[in-house]
Amino acid sequence: MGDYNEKVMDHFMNPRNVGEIEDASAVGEVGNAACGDIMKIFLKIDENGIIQDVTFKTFGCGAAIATSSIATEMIKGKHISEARELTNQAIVEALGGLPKQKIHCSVLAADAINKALDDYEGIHREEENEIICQCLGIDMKTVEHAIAHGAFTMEQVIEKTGVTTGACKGERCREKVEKLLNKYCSL
Amino acid sequence: MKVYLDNNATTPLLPEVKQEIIESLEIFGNASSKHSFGQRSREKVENSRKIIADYLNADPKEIIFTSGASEGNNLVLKGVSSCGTTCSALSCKPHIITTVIEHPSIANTARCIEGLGGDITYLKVGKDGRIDLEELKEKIRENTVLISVMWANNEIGTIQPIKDIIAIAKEKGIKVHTDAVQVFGKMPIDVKELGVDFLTFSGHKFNALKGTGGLYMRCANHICPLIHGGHQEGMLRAGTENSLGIISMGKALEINLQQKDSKRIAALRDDLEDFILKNIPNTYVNGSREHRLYNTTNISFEFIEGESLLLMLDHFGIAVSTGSACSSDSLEASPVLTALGVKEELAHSSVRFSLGPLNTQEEIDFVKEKLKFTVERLRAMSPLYNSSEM
Ligand SMILES: Cc1ncc(COP(=O)(O)O)c(C=O)c1O
Ligand code: FES
Repeated sequence: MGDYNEKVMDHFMNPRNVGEIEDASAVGEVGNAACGDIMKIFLKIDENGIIQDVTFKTFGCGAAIATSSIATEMIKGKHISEARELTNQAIVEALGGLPKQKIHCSVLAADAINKALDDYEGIHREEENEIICQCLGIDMKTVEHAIAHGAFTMEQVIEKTGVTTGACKGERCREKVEKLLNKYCSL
Repeated sequence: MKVYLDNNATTPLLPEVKQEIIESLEIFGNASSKHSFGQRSREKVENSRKIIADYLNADPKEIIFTSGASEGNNLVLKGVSSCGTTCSALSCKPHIITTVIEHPSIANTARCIEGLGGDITYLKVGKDGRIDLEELKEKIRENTVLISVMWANNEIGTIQPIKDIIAIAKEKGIKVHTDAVQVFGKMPIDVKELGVDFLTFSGHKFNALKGTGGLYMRCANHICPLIHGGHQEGMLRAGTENSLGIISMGKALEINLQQKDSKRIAALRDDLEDFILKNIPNTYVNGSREHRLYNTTNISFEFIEGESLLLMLDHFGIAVSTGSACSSDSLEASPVLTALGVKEELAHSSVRFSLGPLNTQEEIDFVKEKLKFTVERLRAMSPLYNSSEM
């Protein structure tokens, strides 16, 4: 497959840490089948906060499986505070790069780990879905969905969602959209 | 072992076609030149035109060579939209009826015409992938200038009731175009019996070269060209002929291996499909199994994503394709499958196998073994697999 480098292919063909942990300390699941990706992370954490074991199960494309695999390697044996700091950029770098339209897979992997850690720490976050564009009432989910589905530039996000075309002409939302774009597309 | 099961995307050159091309490489004259160099090229081009016309039961004058089916489809839709008067597009606010499952070379051309002020109706399809003839009748208007329905779909292989469509159109005096890319060279076509006005085909889908194709246009019709210039192709398509491409099509059609081999190909397809449905649980065929190209099967493998299956099969040397999310740049599920009402998650799980005359039983047996293994392996990784009730 032309799009993936050798390292990605290795993690796809020989994924590390596949499976479930029966007595897991924490589980985190993100994504949904309709969008084509689901990632589930299982953590076994000891009394010192060290991740003794970590496994994953993923429904998704080659990149989704590879990012899950390498992310589990990157946090195994680490303290939960370190695992919290794992960014999607770090995952992409560890894989030696991903095609642009697959960057969202790395975001999912980082999110799945954070969700599992939330589960461990008993944090129940309200679905983070703030309104990004107040003029038009466009929320973060909508913008993220557009980015994950191929809107990689400001112009494309605007075309797909309509952000910045409200009364304030983007004064209040442009920056927030740029931040989201950076999160997904900076690599 | 390398197994190529992506013949709806493109096909390999047959050895005889390859040989013919090599021999023709030295025929370099411009087919429009009057000297002997030009006339040699002209002869070859006209010989191909005759072979193609004979295959279609058409007159050679009715065959217009193009750079492929994308151009042919553009030519018909845009050419008809100019309403046969001048080339100033859309002088008569044309209405065109097409479907929601067309190839992008129709779908995006239709969108362009909409942008220019034309009206387009997109017919829905049922779960079986076929249009509803009653809906077609209802959608016909005073200003309907063309009905364009693909004969067979590239992703699912579904064959449309093209004869019935033409009968309905004739009653109202409306012209009919069909994108016959996936049918051409696979089955006999008789344009006279069909009564179709325009029909497009593409060389690389029937074991000829890429970048070459054509359009059958019934004599009585008139359209405006896309490419203006010299007198080639009855002034409908200017530009020095792609003689090698045209020669390759003539040769491929003369051999017509796909059609001659259709029974065997159908048996291989059925064998593969039966194996999958019997031995791999939670698999579903998309689209009509009855009205379908004999070389195609599109199957959803529940709980796994199509691209990961494609990728792992590719690792074993097996080439298939997926209309699924991750395979293309856009991450949406295949619009064709969603148009059939296939649930998004199953649309993401679909893989297309399209066979050709060069496939063997041995290859299919190899695919069966690797496929079963691969699906089991990916399902073992899937969070959907265990949690779902089997
Ligand atoms: C149904 C259909 N129509 C049109 C085309 C476009 O043909 P071409 O590649 O010759 O432009 C294809 C193949 O890509 C096709 O499958
Ligand atoms: S907040 Fe988006 S345009 Fe004003």
